[in-house]
Amino acid sequence: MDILASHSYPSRRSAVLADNIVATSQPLAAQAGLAMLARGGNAVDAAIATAITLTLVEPSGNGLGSDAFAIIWDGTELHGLNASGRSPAAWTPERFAGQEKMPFRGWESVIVPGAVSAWVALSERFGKLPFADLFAPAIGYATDGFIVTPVIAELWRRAAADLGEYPGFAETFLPDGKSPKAGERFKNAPLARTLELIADTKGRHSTAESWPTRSVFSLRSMALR
Amino acid sequence: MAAHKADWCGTISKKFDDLELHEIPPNGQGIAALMALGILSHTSIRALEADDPQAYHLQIEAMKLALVDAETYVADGDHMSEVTSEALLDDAYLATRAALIDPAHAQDFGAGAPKNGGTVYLSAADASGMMVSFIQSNYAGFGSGIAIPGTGIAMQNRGAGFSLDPASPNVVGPGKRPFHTIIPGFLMGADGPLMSFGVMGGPMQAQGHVQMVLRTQLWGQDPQMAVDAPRWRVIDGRRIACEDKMRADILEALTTMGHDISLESPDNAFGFGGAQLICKLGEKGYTAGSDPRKDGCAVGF
Repeated sequence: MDILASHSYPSRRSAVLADNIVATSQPLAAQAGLAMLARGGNAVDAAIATAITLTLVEPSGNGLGSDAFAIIWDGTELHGLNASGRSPAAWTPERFAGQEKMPFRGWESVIVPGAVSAWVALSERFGKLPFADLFAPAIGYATDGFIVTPVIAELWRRAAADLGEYPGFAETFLPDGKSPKAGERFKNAPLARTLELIADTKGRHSTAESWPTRSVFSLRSMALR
Repeated sequence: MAAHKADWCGTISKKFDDLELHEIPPNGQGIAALMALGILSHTSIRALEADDPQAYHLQIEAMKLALVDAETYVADGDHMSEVTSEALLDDAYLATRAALIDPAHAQDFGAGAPKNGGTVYLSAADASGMMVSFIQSNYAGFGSGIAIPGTGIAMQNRGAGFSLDPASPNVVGPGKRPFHTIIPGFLMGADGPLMSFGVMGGPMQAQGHVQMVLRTQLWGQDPQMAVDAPRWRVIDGRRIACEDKMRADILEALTTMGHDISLESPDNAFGFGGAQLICKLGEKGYTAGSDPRKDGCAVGF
């Protein structure tokens, strides 16, 4: 069977109607959020669990190195959250002198990521469930694998052609040198370990024995210098 | 990540009759959706049907006017000293912008849309009345291309959102936030929240917000129908992209008005983004639509 990103026949959907709803671009991630609502969490818990799961199941669009923004209606008023990261301290205009535009890929395009700070801020202010619980679906899928969906598989295939030579890309995203096809299972055990670390420390792991901490700290020092 | 702290920044908003669209204040492009809606409130769009070519024309022209300002003035809010968000959203200013629209001819206002991006958007709502509009992105598909071995962490490339033009408030600098394409949307009505929504896809987002607000509110389309509807996208100058499922008579009328149209298949280009909408139903309950251009769905109980 071919599981395709584009179909030969039109498909239709009805609007979904319910008292509790999660909507997003990948079904497992939507249901990870719904599972939090089913066990007594609120819409913020659902949103965070969905966002965490998306870092695994839709790597073409986001990851742990993402930025994030949110608007929350808490039942009484609106709140806005800007969790976009800042540039490193060394990024003066002189650093990029002679270039026509900013580098689009590679380390010189990377700024401090803010997504994890969004999850922490949202959970601390509005969440009902323990922060660590929101990671369970994503850690499960990262450890045991999940079945890749067709539109994401197509974007993954395109990226493999463009990014295969970038540091760490193939090792992380191209098992056996190839992007997973729709219908194939993809595991990401290293991401499971990093998610566990973030779940346990709220992204504020302060000792330096593990790689994520070191790399995050080196970015941090770049940003703060 | 350990160093970074998220900011509770509030929202900026613009009214269109009883509707009030809320966006995150700059460094993001959300202000472009507010400006376009504000410009449209000074036009005849209320009298038009959803698929009247004139309704498309007015939206496209308003969007171009909003995008050219966003491109010129939006940066890290701390660096927007000469032209502020307030000035860009001023009603009198937007009325003067609306007056530039020629009802019969497409114009080149010098606008370009932001680049394509890889982003995820989600919306969640619960029975207690809490609603969340959330967006998260690596920017280009898979971001910078750099993944940290042994961690599963892929790094974004949002640094590419900076300008190298020294005259731009968005010029690269240390400890600064670049212009950002990703925007969560939220729509309020006279009696409270109406819709938690977003449209991922770099150039499509502010443009998508305007299309979703008008389809669901002005034209009463349910969230799935609004999401399914063929979309248009400003490219630059007089160039726009339309989905190939758009009605032929609409495309013809737009071409006659001088729009330079390229037809794109949504699944080939991923250029029309992915929308998720959750709308409130009266006192209790919601109805949601999820974009058929993506793999996802709306689920509930």
